[in-house]
Amino acid sequence: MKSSLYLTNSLKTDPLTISPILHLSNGVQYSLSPVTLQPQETAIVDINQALSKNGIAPYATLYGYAEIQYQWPWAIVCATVRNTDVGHSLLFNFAMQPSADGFPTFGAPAQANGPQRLEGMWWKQEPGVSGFLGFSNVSGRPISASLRLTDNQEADLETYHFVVPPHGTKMVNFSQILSASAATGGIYVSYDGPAHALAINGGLQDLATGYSAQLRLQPSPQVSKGQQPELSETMFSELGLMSGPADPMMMFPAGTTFAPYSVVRNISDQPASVTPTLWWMADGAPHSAELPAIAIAPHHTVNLAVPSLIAAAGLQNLTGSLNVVLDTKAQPGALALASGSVDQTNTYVFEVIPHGVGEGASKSLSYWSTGNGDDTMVTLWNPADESQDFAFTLFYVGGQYAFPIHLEARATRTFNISELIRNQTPDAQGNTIPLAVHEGSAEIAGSQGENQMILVAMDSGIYNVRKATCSPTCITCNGVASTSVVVNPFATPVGGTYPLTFYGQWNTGDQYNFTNQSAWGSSDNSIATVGSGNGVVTGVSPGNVSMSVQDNYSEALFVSYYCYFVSPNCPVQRPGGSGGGNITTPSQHTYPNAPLTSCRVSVPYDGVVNQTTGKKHQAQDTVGSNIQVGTPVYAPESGNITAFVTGKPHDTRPVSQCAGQNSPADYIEITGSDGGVTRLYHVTILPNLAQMTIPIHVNGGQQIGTIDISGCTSAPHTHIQRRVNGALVNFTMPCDNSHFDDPSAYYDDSDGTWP
Amino acid sequence: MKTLSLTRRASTAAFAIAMLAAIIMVPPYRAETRTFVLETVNSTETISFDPAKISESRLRELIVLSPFVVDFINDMPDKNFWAVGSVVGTLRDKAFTALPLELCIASDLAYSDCGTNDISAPRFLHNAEVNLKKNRRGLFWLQHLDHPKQLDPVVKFLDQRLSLSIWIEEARLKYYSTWDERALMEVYNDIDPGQICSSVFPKLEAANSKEAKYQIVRSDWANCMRASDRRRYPIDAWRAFLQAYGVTEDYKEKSPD
Repeated sequence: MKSSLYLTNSLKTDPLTISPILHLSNGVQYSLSPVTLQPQETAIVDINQALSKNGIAPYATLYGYAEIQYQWPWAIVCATVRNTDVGHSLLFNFAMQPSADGFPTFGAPAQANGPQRLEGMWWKQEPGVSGFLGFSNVSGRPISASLRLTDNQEADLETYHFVVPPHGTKMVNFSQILSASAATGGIYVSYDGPAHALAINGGLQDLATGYSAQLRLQPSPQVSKGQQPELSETMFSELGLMSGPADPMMMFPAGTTFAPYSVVRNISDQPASVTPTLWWMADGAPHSAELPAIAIAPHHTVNLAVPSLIAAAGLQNLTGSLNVVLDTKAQPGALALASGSVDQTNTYVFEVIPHGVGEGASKSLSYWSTGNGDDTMVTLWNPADESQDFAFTLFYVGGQYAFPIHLEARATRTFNISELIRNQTPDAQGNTIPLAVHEGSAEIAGSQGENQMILVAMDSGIYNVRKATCSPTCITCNGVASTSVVVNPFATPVGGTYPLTFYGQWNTGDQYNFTNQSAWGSSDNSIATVGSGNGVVTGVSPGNVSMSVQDNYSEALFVSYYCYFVSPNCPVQRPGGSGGGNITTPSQHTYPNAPLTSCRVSVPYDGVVNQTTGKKHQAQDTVGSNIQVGTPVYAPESGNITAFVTGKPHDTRPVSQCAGQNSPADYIEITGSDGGVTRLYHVTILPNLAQMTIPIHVNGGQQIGTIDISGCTSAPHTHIQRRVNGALVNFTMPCDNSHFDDPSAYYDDSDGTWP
Repeated sequence: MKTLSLTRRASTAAFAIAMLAAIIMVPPYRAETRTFVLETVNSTETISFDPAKISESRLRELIVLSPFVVDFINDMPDKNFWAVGSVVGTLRDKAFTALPLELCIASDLAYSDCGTNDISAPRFLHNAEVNLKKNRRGLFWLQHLDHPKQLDPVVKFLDQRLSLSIWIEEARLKYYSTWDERALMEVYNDIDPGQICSSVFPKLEAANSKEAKYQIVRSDWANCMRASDRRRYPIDAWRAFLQAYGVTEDYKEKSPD
């Protein structure tokens, strides 16, 4: 038996250094040399050779588990252990599962401690099939576990009780199914400890014929006491099943004929139903045949007998590649599925991992190979009722190659990666794959990028006709691994603004900005408001405040190890987040220059101008010595004149009549280099400036105009206001602030309508 | 087998169907009027429109081109250009202009270490680049704005004024980076600075410090260059657009209190 550890760095942005550790069944561990992987790079660690370097004879029969360690916030390395017995043409491909204390899916619920129950199925493709399961304890405490095998009538075949020592592995071979009259049955595992504390891998095999298939166990669906579980509808696809004589292009021995298989077990206590539909391509167009629904009783396994289904549909002559699509109605997580194709000698087993079908973003293939007689076959199916454009990108050491794929509605496309290499057709960037390249990873994405929502089902398998082996490859659902609101915490003064940004961090290392496609809300609008569609915080009054945000769209979520469990589909969710901050008392802007000679503030900012309503004066009225119409007005700071109005008449009505009556006045507006806007009312711009093209740069202290009495005013003055992002704020000027006019003497606000 | 659709595309299709139904169901000659208001501390702009002729979202996008909408643009927290406007008697003008190199807003994370916001600030050149990037983004938006043909003259005018002002800021930055006067003398669209702003250059040569040269270019040269374009906002084109789409604008300047 040869064992290899396959590692893929799924990041597109960063290299990773990975330290593999081998744990033998007795708990002894060996740390292997670290492996550094560039972005999207793959590497293979020869486990036999590594053990040999540690003084263990290569012919020794050992088992155990592998662990990898690396520094990254989420599980970004796709790792599988491939065990190959070329002599018996057996191949088992075990994906690494997350550690007990880490779960790779953003937004997933925390994993529970306590009794863990898992269930799976066995099936006999042919009479000589037996099975095995390996239980590896990845925790630091002993774990008591039990394994129960049943036939399809739920009669016990055998029960095992055992304790797995910390970091040890217990192997259970079960040959009872050899003598069982049933062709299918159940596998039940229970243990005490946290979820994922036991890594369980297993397979079915027949050493005589070379048959091998993988066993997968799933957590039993949970039902709250007293609650009737809801049944949900889910679509699963089993792609690229082979029926009839092998494709000559695949170079199988003459006479090799394949038959597809599909096995389903209901691991819940509720009944389930499965409606199979066959899909195949003929004359370049998709065709389908829907078959009758099949009821599956709780804890029963059904072999769908695909050849019989094909015959029942009147398609006896259907040969080549086909997809089995299962529309299921069951409790969520209730179905265990297995499928593939087997030749008539049971030597060539093309296992296909069933996957849920749903809208999501890009998906990554952990590994492809075309070396040493290997080839990698990829099958893509467009389940949507509209055509779609995809980019299938191959990553390899030193480069990448993007292969555009257009799929009509419901169409299937199957290709070998060796073809893409052999064709040497340049991609849109002019890249071809060097002929010396034989391995790498890959990604299927929408033509607009990895985050485009697409609806595609994909399967791939690495097969080797010479070794009579085939193994499916793991798929990672790319998506949001975490979210963040930056900058958190924030601080901005009253009247100031602060832009918050809502990011989604993708597992591939890329970041996406969700700010403007999200709904924002403030915990207290009296302290700060936030732009509902842009995340811009505006301070209203001093205090602490928090802002919540939720994406208006569902985003794809990151799930690694998609090959470990049969998952409904790549999940989507509307991510959200929050960020808190502080609204501070604003520091006042100080103008370096006086607007008037010997100026005095006559009515201050926030001075009460209406005793009845409490209306405040959000500006500073300023006068100078001997102020009169024509008195020069100076720029209080340097900046650009960005607006002016001139020629407005004096409102001849008494102030008591014109106040608040839309009586506009002349003004000059200067925008400073800090973005603050200063407007000086009742000022006529100098004629030479009026003739220029705005913006006009002026220096602080430069005369810009003269006092007038435009609009509604009872005496010459200039009314100076300062705006920051549209909000009026206070300021200071080099003017006398020691005594103000009595507002009631200055204004007549008897009508109470002062604006 | 059940039907599967891409939801985001499907929602667009559903919207199109709903719109079609609305158009069919609206009886002819019975226009429905809707309004929205753009309010600032100094003005109120009330826009009334017929949704059968133009959608609110499209009108909101186009209304920033209005000769009355100046404060509203400048009061937005994150701008890629400024609006400038003037009224002389009854003559109204408006344009878009580049953010000046000196703009540096402490609360905007794009800028850093604003200091004095001028040539003596340690990160002046960096912050100047930030402004130029924003300006180019703003120009890109304007040049790719989907607009009715009536607004062609308006968009063209705003584009020309914004482009010229961006060119002025780019030339200033080139000069502040190299202190080579040739950066200020390059001809732009038949505008020859050496000719129309000839009085500036002797002044520049006479200045004996970089600070003095900086001020001359910021003020004299830039003002002179901007004055080379004396065209006015094509208000007739704007009115034609309003008429064609059944839009009315009621702009009120508030009184200073």
